Formats: sequence, structure tokens, C-alpha cells
Amino acid sequence: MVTTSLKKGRGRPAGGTSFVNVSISDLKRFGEIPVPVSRVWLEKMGLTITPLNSTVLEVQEKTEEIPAIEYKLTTLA
Amino acid sequence: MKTRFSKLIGQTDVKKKFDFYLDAQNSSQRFPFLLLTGAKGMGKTEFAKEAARSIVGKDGQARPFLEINCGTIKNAQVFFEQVFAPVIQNNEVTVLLDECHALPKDLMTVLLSAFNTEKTERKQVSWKDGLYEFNFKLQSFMLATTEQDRLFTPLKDRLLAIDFQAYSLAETAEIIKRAFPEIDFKENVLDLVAKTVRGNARSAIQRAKQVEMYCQMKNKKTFDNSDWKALCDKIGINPTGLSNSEIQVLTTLHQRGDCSLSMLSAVTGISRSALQRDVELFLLQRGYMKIEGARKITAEGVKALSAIEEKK
Repeated sequence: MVTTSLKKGRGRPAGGTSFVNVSISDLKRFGEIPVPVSRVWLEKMGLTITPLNSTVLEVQEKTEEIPAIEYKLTTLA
Repeated sequence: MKTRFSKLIGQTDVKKKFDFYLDAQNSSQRFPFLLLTGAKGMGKTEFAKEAARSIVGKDGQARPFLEINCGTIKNAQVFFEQVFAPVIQNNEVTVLLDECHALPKDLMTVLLSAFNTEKTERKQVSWKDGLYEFNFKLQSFMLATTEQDRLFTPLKDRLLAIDFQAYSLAETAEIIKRAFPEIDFKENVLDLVAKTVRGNARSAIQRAKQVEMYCQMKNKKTFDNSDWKALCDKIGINPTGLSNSEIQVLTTLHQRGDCSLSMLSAVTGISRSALQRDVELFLLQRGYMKIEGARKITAEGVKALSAIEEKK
């Protein structure tokens, strides 16, 4: 049976946000602790972001060895 | 009188069944798919090999006997590539699939389909890129297992079962005697030796080899009770044939009275499954203990313990 009613309680509720506004002076109180900020915001503030150099390791695919089946062929006298 | 299995001792019912199926094979040119079941060392492979001697090919000679350890088959593809195509297909051969409970599931399914034959003697199986043909006029199949409960039930239903029994004391003695006919066993020493063997042919042969080694070292052709006593002292054989674990269980039951399996496991340090599988079985067979709710030592068990104590 198909229902047309929408499910309640799904998605982001109105007013629910991930970010809040805080002044730099307030953040300064945390000293040397790294504070995650939005990349977009940083760019707006005129900072350029250089991506981290990452090393790509080549992973060699393991070739699975097929074990030999143990069998014995006997010629019967 | 049939002499097909005269080389092998005991297993009268097994011999009768094999004789019947071999006679049927002679007239129909088709051997039924057999399932040989029984504990380890009962002679399943030896009987299969002996039966194979009676399955002759077009040239009047016994067909070759192919024994495959199913525990080493990873999947059906490997089986077809490594064994079926090069050794079985288009060839006259008698095949024994040993420890068949370990067959991979996809191969069990293949065999289930292949063995589902009514009148036709050929069955083609298409697998991955290959087409393989079973020809039951050329090939005979026997499967053997110690754990028939682990075999895929529909496959089991396609097979005619032959179950092996434990060997009696007299049969065990006969196996030991025949293993080394050049040794002359004196007095009742064969009975004493046979008592220490686990009712299976393989351990009887092993015991016979120990006797042979002793006789070679002593440069003797006869073996009597005093030799047996000396051999027992040398390699630590208990007169009852019990292992140290079995003696430990009997001693625990004797000292503590009736015990649960958990209690026995805790006291002896042997896991519950190992106790049930490896230790209790022989004690129950010999009537040294019984299970009536709890584990109990019997009067025979007490006697066996006393005999061991006396020996010490």
C-alpha cells in the first residue's frame, strides 16, 4: 500500500545549524589549540589554501596461489 | 566361496555389501555410488581399494584406483582443472573421495547433479567455460567420511551407505598376527596386546610394528608374555591400553565421585569437546565409565585403575 503522508522527524530541523558566530578575541582564549574553520570562510578572508601533499602508495594486488589437490593414482595388480 | 576380501580381517557385513554391489556391477557394468562411513582407522580406504581390484576395465585388468583427499579441494573449478579433466574424464578409473564431508559446497552441488542419474550412464556438467562429462560405465565413485553428519544431506541421499564397525578383540589379534606372520606369538600374548588397541585396524598395525621393532632389537622370532611386559615397560603402554588423559578422567571420577562434564573439564583441564570426542568414547566403549546424568566410574573402571596402580 502506498502512503502519501510525509515522514516526520527526517532531515534538518529549521534553525538547526552546524556553525555559530564567535569573535576572534573569544577564540584567542584557546591559545594554541587548532580550531577547525570553514575553508570557504578562510578564502573569503583572503587566505589561500594549499592542499597537503599526499603520497600515493601503490598496493600490489596479492595473487592467490591455488593449492594443489592431494590425490594418488594407483595401478592395481 | 567369495574370496574378494580374504586378505582383510573382520567387517563381515561390509564384505557382504561390497560383494553384492560388485556382483551387480559385473552384470550391469555400473557400480552404485557408495558412501563408506565409520571412525578413523576402520579400514575404509583399504576396503575401497580391495573392492576396486574387482572392478575391471575393457582390458580385463583392474581399473586404476584414484584416492583424493577432499580436504585439499578448494573449489569445483580447481577440481575440474587439476583432477577431473586430466585423470578422470574419458578414463576408466575407480575414484575414492576421502573425507568427503570436506568437499567444497560448489563441488557438492556438481556431484549432486552428476549422481542424479536414473538410466543414463553419462552426465554432462557445464562449469564456468568448460563442459565435463561423467561416464559411469568408465568411472566408479566411492565417498568416505568419518563425519557423515557434516555431509550435505541431499548428496548423502544419492549414495548407498556402508558403515564400518569396531573390530572385536579376536579380529584385532588376528590383524596383529597377520601383519607380521614371521613372528610366533606364544601363550595368550596376542590377547594381551589386542586389549591395548583401540578396536581399529590402524592402531592394531601400529602396535604390531612396535612388537616387530622389539623382536628385531632382541633378534627374536618369538614373542611371549614376558616380552610384552618388557615392551610395555620400555614404551609406557598401560595394560588396559588407556592413555594418560583417560587415566586422569578415571582417577578424577574415582576420587571425586560422580561429576558433570563441566566439572571433569575444570578438574582435568581438558576442554569439554575434547573430553567427549577423544577421551570418554573409549572409556564408555570399554565400560570403564557410564553417563547417567552425571559421569560415573564403573566397577570395571575401578579394576582398571587398580591394575594401573599395581603396575606402578
